[in-house]
Amino acid sequence: MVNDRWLVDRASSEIGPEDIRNPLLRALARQASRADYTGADVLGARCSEDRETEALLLEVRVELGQAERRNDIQLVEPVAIVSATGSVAPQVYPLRADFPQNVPHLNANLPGLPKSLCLYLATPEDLARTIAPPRLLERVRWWMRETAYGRLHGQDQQLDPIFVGAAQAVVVSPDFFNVEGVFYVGSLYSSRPDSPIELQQLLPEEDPRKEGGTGRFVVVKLTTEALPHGQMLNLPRNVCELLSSYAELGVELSNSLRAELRMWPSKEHLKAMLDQPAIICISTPLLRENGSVEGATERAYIAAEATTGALGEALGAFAVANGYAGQLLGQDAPAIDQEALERIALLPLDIRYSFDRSLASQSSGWEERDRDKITLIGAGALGSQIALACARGGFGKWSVIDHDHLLPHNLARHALLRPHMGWPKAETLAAEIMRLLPDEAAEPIVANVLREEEQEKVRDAIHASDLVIDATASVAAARWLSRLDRPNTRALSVFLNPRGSDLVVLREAQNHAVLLDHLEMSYYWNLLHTDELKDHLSTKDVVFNGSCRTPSVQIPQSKIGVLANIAAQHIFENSHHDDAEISLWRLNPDLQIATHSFPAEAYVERELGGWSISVRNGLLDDIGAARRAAGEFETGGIVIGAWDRQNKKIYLVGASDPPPDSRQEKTGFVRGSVGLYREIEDTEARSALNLTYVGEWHTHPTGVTSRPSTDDNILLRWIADSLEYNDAPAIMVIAGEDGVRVRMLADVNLSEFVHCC
Amino acid sequence: MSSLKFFPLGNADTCLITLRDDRRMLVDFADMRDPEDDEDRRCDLPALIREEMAESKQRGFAVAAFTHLDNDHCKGSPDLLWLDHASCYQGDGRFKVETLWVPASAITEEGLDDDARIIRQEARHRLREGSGIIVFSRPERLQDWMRDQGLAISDREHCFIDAGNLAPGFDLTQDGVEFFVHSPHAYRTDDRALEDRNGDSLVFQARFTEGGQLCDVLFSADVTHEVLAEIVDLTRKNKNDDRLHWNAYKLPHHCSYTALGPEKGESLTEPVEQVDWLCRTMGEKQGFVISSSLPIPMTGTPEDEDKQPPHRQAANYYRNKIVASRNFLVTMEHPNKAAPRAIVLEVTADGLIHKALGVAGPASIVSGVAPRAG
Repeated sequence: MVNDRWLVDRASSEIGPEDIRNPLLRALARQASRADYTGADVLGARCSEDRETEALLLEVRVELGQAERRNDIQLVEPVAIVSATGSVAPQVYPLRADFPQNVPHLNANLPGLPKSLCLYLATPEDLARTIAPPRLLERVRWWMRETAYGRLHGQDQQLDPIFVGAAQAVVVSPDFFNVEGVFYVGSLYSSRPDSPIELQQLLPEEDPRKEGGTGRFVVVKLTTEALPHGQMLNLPRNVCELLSSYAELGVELSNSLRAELRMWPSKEHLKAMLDQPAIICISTPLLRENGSVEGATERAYIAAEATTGALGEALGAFAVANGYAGQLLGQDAPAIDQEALERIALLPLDIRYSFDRSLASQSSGWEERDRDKITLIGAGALGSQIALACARGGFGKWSVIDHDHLLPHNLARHALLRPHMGWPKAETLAAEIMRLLPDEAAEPIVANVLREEEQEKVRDAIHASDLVIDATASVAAARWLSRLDRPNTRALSVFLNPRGSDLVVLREAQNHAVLLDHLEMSYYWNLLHTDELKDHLSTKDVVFNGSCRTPSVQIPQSKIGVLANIAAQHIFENSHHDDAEISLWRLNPDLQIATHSFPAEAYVERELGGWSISVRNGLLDDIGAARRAAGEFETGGIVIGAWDRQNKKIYLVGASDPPPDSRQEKTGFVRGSVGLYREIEDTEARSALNLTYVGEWHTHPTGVTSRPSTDDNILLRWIADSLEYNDAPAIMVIAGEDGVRVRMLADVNLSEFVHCC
Repeated sequence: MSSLKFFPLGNADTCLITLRDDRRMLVDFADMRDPEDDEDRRCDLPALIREEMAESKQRGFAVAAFTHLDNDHCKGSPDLLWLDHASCYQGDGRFKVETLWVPASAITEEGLDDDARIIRQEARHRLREGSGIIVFSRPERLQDWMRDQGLAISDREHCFIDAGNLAPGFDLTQDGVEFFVHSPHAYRTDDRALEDRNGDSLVFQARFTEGGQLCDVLFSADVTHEVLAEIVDLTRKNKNDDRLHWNAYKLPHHCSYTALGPEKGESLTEPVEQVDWLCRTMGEKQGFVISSSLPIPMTGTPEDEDKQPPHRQAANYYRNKIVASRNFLVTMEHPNKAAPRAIVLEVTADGLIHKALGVAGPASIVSGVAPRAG
């Protein structure tokens, strides 16, 4: 075994292990010779005449148990560890004559040459830095044991490292081998000689030489009959070896190759390509032990130095005379010119599949979710990056809604780049997603959702979606979306705070029990009670660019990128969860990320006097609890909330405690004022004016209903007077035995409802 | 992961078992090395055990099993173990034993000297106390001794385990190991006048599990082929054949021919039918045979003429007929005669594997070079 022909060819002289010059091999020999190391023993050493190649021959001991082995690996396996000048890391070749050749993670090699173990994922250059003799030896023993029990996964059989760097890639579409009746030509992506090769379909009658046609390749593709799993091909050096290596596996390749080649001179528009070289792509379906077909092994070879005409002639596909190729008539058995075939050299090509949704999901480790229809409103910096990050993971079919154009300042942090300058963001972002995932993955809608006349065209897209993402950074747009009737579409808002340090995600419940505007109110309410976030909405130190109505904040792409990608990952992971959520991520100045999550409470909704009132459940609970605690006394305080004058909505969000100077009596409650001004100021500051004083609340004692007293009516009038210049109705909330009563005075119109607790 | 370590002690036995939860268990302990003799290649057992216990932060043994009280199975153990019966065997540097396993003969046997006597006293003490001991026998076997001590059998039944049962205290699912008791068995111990210590020694199958794979190790103390034949007959009669299955077989009596058959033979000992069945049918072809013994003698050497084991002819049977010669492991030959080191068998999902010596840690092997993502 140590006299294997290839080994003698590469390293003709026997030497003592102590004479090895390569430091790693020498250390390996020392390690394996130690009496207290039993993982391997030294069999010998060899070198080439010029000492460029050295080989250490070892017998490695494999730790095998009694479980059934999937592959014939034995307790002791002889290997050659070969190092060559210029190669960064040594290669390990099994030496046993009947060592299994059909196992994963062996590197393919030319006929007559051994297949080396594919030991590491890392590149040889990275490996060279850390590889130490004990580790290499243990890795070999580990490889053997894992292979014995069939645990080294995957069927990928890379080319022997000797080819690395020489091998070119050819990029094919995922359905390349399945599409019939289509002709392809190949061309280099770039002008570099080792550029990957791009394949293009030739449309019927399209002239492949219309742009000169030189530097293009004729592509011949074949699918052979299925072969048992795991059979491994040697790498052929020429067409003759290609035919014979398939013949060894019982596959007759020449007939189908000939049939494919004959197509080219038979078509007028293809004929002209016969003076160009050919690329041969071969797919072999793999048979499992139970006879079912699973997967395929695919290989490609380029005959760069010969013309397709010469290849066809050598195979007896056609004859070329005076530059014209013609079918051979009257010959039963076509004459194969073996010598000519031997002269047509082949180089292996790596087959790479073009990027599509499946590869996107696989590369990202995300399950494939092409059925999730998503509408994105707002293709700004955040929205564009979220959509593109999701699409890169194969997630979503997208409708992109935006009315804006890409302008110079956008380039600092938008997913789109200079070539898209001046174009509508919706169109260019959708086009990029479609280019990325060629399955109609996106459609653009250039529209402003806040313009009534443009809303019609976005409604259909939203109705047809499972999820609508509001990335407009516009509260007005989010409120419009919240009110929009969309029975099967849930909404999610995503935005950054003014300084760009915090990301907020508000996601509705699947059953629409908690809507976007409710989440927004609860988010403000929680900001009031979370001291770490007291400056969340502050605009202090925020520097704006641009003019007054087109503000643009100074935030670097590095920050937006971090937060946009958190949003994308979060949306992917959670969009199928039924519950609503309020989540916040803060990128701190030291680049640590803090997360906050708040309860997404439900609201009680009522129509009252032309207004729609939403009362946070927690507010009702708090007032009920205060009443029970007060017993036979009354208690009260102010109500915090918001008016949306445009949409005629009132939100009652929170109840403050009674100020310390309040008078709590059995027959009445007089709300004090100590600290109240400060509290309202603080509320408005922390919520960026989104929450403020909207009215008063008080309770009636045990046994008394919520029916308002004369004093209560006077109080409501007082509230209305004090809010006179706010252009908003006055609100009074009274808790009694029958529940919580909400009274509203708008102008002179009084209306009310009682919510039974 | 469970593992078993067999130490090079000449013709003597010590196996240190590491359980899945890192607890340790001793099967025999015999510190045979002569510290005065520089040429002695037997290991410094107490030092190795102390080192391992310190390394694994273990302060005692879940079980110390003495298969019988011959010197080559218990020598030096009172210097290592914390013994409850006398304060002179207590103090720092000693390891407590949660449960002591002994055969019935270890309680009743008279005329013992030195360490064997001390272990007997400890066993008696624990039985009197009614805790921390499992006697491998039917309780009736100790009827007279118990009566003399004023003990009722009914109060001490929990301290006994009879052949054909699983030893208490271990659960295959929870602990990853269980022990099936083969001997001493009633067939031998009923109403006998004479005591045959080797015949009354502990024989059990330790069954480990890892990743759904069962790994059986047969411990056979110093029993003879007659005892083995009885065990095989009884076990097969009770249809417990799989309790004789082995991935590793710790040979009886240091590879003595007597564990195979009545005649040593010229070049190969012919086993009796039952022992042949035990080795051929119940053993895994890729399994291990462990001989806790001196090196196997070469033909014609003075050692080869010696009546004492190991016997070359017995070794030839195991390594020629039963397992690959690489898997016939002799404690004083591993990895070589010049510097023997302990044999480690590890329980894995692939079965029992024989660990190579001097290898790097697993992390550096499996992870290789972690490529950067980018």
